[in-house]
Formats: sequence, C-alpha cells, structure tokens
Amino acid sequence: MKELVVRHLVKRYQQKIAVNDLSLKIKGGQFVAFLGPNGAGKSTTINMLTGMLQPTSGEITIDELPPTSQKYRQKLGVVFQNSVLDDDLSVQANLKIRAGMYHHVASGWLDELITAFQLQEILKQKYGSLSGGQRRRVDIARALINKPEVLFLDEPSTGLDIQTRQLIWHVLDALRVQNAMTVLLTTHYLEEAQTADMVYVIDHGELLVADTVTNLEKGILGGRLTLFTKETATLKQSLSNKTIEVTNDGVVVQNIESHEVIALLNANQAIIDDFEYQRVNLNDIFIQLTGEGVRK
Amino acid sequence: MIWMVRRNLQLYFSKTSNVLLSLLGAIISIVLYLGFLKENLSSDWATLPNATTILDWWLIGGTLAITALTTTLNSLSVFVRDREQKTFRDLALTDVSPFNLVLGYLGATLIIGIVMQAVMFTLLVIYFGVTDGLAMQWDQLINVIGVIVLSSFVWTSFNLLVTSFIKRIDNFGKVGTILATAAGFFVGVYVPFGILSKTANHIIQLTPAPYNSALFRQVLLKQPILAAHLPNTTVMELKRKLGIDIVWHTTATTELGNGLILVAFTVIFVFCVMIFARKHLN
Repeated sequence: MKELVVRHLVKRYQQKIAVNDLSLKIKGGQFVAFLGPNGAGKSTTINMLTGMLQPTSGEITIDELPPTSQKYRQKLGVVFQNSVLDDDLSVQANLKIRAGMYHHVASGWLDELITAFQLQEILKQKYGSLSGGQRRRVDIARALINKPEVLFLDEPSTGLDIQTRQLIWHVLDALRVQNAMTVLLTTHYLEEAQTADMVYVIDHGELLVADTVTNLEKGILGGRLTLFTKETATLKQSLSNKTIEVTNDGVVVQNIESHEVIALLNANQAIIDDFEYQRVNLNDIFIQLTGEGVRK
Repeated sequence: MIWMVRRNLQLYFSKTSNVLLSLLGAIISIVLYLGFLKENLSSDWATLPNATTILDWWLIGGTLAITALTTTLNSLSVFVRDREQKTFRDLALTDVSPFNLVLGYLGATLIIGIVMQAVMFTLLVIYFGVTDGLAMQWDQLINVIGVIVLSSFVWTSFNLLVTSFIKRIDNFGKVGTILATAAGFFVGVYVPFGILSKTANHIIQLTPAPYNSALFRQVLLKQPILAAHLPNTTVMELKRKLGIDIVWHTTATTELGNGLILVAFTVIFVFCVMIFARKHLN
C-alpha cells in the first residue's frame, strides 16, 4: 500500500452523527493509533475503512481503490473487537478453514504464524475453551493469514496480560518491518500508542489532533511534581510563584520543567522528605483533549 | 466455497448434542409411535393381514420428512449466528464472495439433510427389522434416495426463507422449537391425517409437509399394500386416513403429483428469498 486517503468522511445514524467530516492521509508502512474515549467514533471509522459500513458521505481510497472493490478487501487484515472464530472448532481447524478461503496463501506461512504466536500447544484445543489471551493470539494470526498490506486492530489488547501484549507487539513490529505492513490501531491503552508514528485523537466523531507522540508531548510544558514534607506551610511560601495543590499525598506542582525541579529541590533540601517527578505523557494529553468526565 | 461447506459440516457434526437436538422432532415421533400410536392404529386396522409392516413403513416415511425439516433448519442456525456475531463480516474479508458464502451454507445444509435422513432411514430399518422382522425393500432404494434428496432441497429452501428474516440466534431458537413441534403434525405422524378435522387438513395442505411424507409413504408402502390384497375401497380409505395420498376434495395426489408439488414449493421458496429476503441476508 502506498497511501490510504480519507476525505470528508461522515456517518450519520438518524439524529446522531458518529463521524463528522473526518479527513486523513496515512502513508504505507506507518503505525497509526486512533485514540478516543468510548463512543468517540473510532470503531465506526474502522468499520467504514474496512468496507463493512457504508459512509453517509465522503470518500475512502487505498491506492485509488474504493472499499467496495475486491482488490481493496484483499489488502486488509482485521482483528475485530469480539472473537469471530468458531468456538466449537479447534484452533487448527479454524485457521486451516480461513486459509483455505484465500486464493494464495504461501505454503509454510501459516506455520510461521503459528510459531510466532506460540500456538503449537493449543492447536488441538477448541477455540471456545481458550483463555482471553490465547484467543487474541489466534485472532491476530487469523487476520495475518493473507499477509495483509494494512492491518486493522480494533482494541486488540483489552483485558490481556502484559506478557501477551508484549508477545503480540513483538510479532507485529517484526512484520511491520519485514513486509512494510501498515498498522491501524484503536486503543484505550495509551502506552500502546506511545510507539506509533502518528496519533489521531478522535472525539464526538471529530478529529481533535493528528500528530506524532513527540510533538504532542512537547505541546505541554513540564511535568508533575509531588513533594512530601512535614512543613507544608514553609514549602508553600517558597512556591508562591507556582500553582500548587495540597493533597493527602503531599504538595503537588503542575506544569513544572525539570531544571526548575532541580533548583527547587536544592533550595528546599532541608524540609523535603521525598519527592516524585512525572514527565508529561500521552495520558495527560488525552485527558486534556477529551476532558475528565466519564462518557454517558 | 468448498471450505465454507467443510466448515459448516464440521460445525454441525462436531457436537453430538447438536446432532441429537436436531433430531428431536423425529425422536418424539418414534417414541409416540412405539408408546401407543402403533397399538391404536393396529387395532383400527385389525383386518389388514400385514398391519405391522404397513404401519412401520408409514412411520418411517413421516419420520424422514420431519428429519429433513429439522436437520436443515438446525444447520442454518450457523448462518443466523454468523450474522449476529459478525463472523459473516470476517468470512466476507476472504476471497470467497458473499454469494458463494451463502451457497456454502446451502451446500452444507443440503448434505446434512441428506445424510441425516439416510442415517435415520438405516437406523429405523434395522430397528424394525430386528423387532418386527421388517424386510428392507431393496428395489425401492433408488426411489427412497430420490425422495430424500428432493426433501432436502424443499426444506433447505424453506428454512433459508425463514432464517433470512431472523436476526438473532435467540429468536431462531424460538422459531426452531415451534417449527420442530409443528412438523410432526404437518407430516401427519403425531396424529394421522384421517383423525384431523377438514379445516386442519386444508391448512396443512398449504405447506409442503404432507406431500413430502405422502411421497415417502407412496414409495415405501406400494408393495406392502399390494401384498395385502385389499378391496379397492379399503385401499382408498387406508391411503386417505394414513396420509399416503393427499386428497384434495375428491382427487388424490399421485407420486408424480407429490414430486412436482415439492419441486414447485422449492422454486417458490427460492423466489421468495430472492425477492423478499435478499436485503435481510447481509
């Protein structure tokens, strides 16, 4: 794939607008993350990009091909939010059947996937009897059967343990480099988006931000400093030029840069028992962009 | 498409409980027959020299028709579940076109209908062979196989029409229960048609069910009835009461007539699917 282009994409359900005038351009081989709270329109967008949902208006193309064309679909691999394989069949049967339904699956490729996702031991087990992490590994192996040029992952690691997530990302990263595969991810786990080439923050169906993680992090100054002390009053005085907040944990200073932290710690060495400094991360940016409230 | 057929066959046969459940209507008809219907009917037809043989074949004919209906219905449950759980979307991502995917469901369903009727036929012939000394009619085997295939087509098309309107597997279960229960009455094996009222008979005659069981019975009972050397009026009464011929007013359907009626129903169901149900299929 050279380029995935989305122009003025709109999806309307009766009264509600799920996706509102979304435009973006994704280059081949990139790793792109879609971030957004629940109900932001991420899955709707993915469903339209995979040709499973008709947009109300707007245009989607991969190398000039529309999602309705067979050639477009042949480029895709999709990991769905929910499991779509057959519970009553074994892992092996599930993968073999799906492989059989594609015209050209290179011999040995399926075995490579089985090895990469460490599925040998569960091949004979029924898919329905697997744990969440095992299922996901099988799901992703299934999505890769046709060596897709673009892989869509719709919240792939919800509820997975850290080992499984690491394994999955290790394999996907290798494939991305090997086959120049483009990866589109929607996620709630911001640390997964941390390595993305591009981050799209979507809320209320609109694109809020499209940028690299580094640029996004630069956008917010400094980090968050928590100071632990018994002499809160004295400390407050020396911080008179900063916005502070006194909590049960200690005194919290927001938006403070590292060089300021060093100076502050030096100056108040005598009264500070301990401290904690956290640089700004994607979580803070995300909250700042989409608000603190829980979605109703 | 071959892989789609394979998948659906594997899904049907992978669970014994599923296979047994799809045969529930047929099992009930056998239990009812062995429990009391056989005895009742035998005393009704005490004048027949070979009543047991005639009744055993009569039961086999009706049971095969139920089997055709319920097993094909059960096989299509996969189609409903795939659409509900979005598996169909995943399947549509492969190189198999959506049309061929649907053909995959139908192919597997036809095969399941045929295989399960054949299994049921074999088991019943063996059972009645052992208990009642029923002799297999080898010269009718080809005809029986023909009717089995035709039944599978009729009920596959009927059930495709039904399932294309059902969006949720939960509702499918409810519809399935109703159909499987009704089937026994509609093929006239829970209660012989002769006992039912005229109105009930007329309603039943609007469906393919009575023609299906009648065709099986016409094939299976031709020789046993001839062997009984009955007067014509008795034969007519026997055929009417047991639903071996289906009587419209005064004319009775022939073997060819029943066969053509079943073909016509298949064509009508397929047309209905194409006209009314197409938009529901995705």
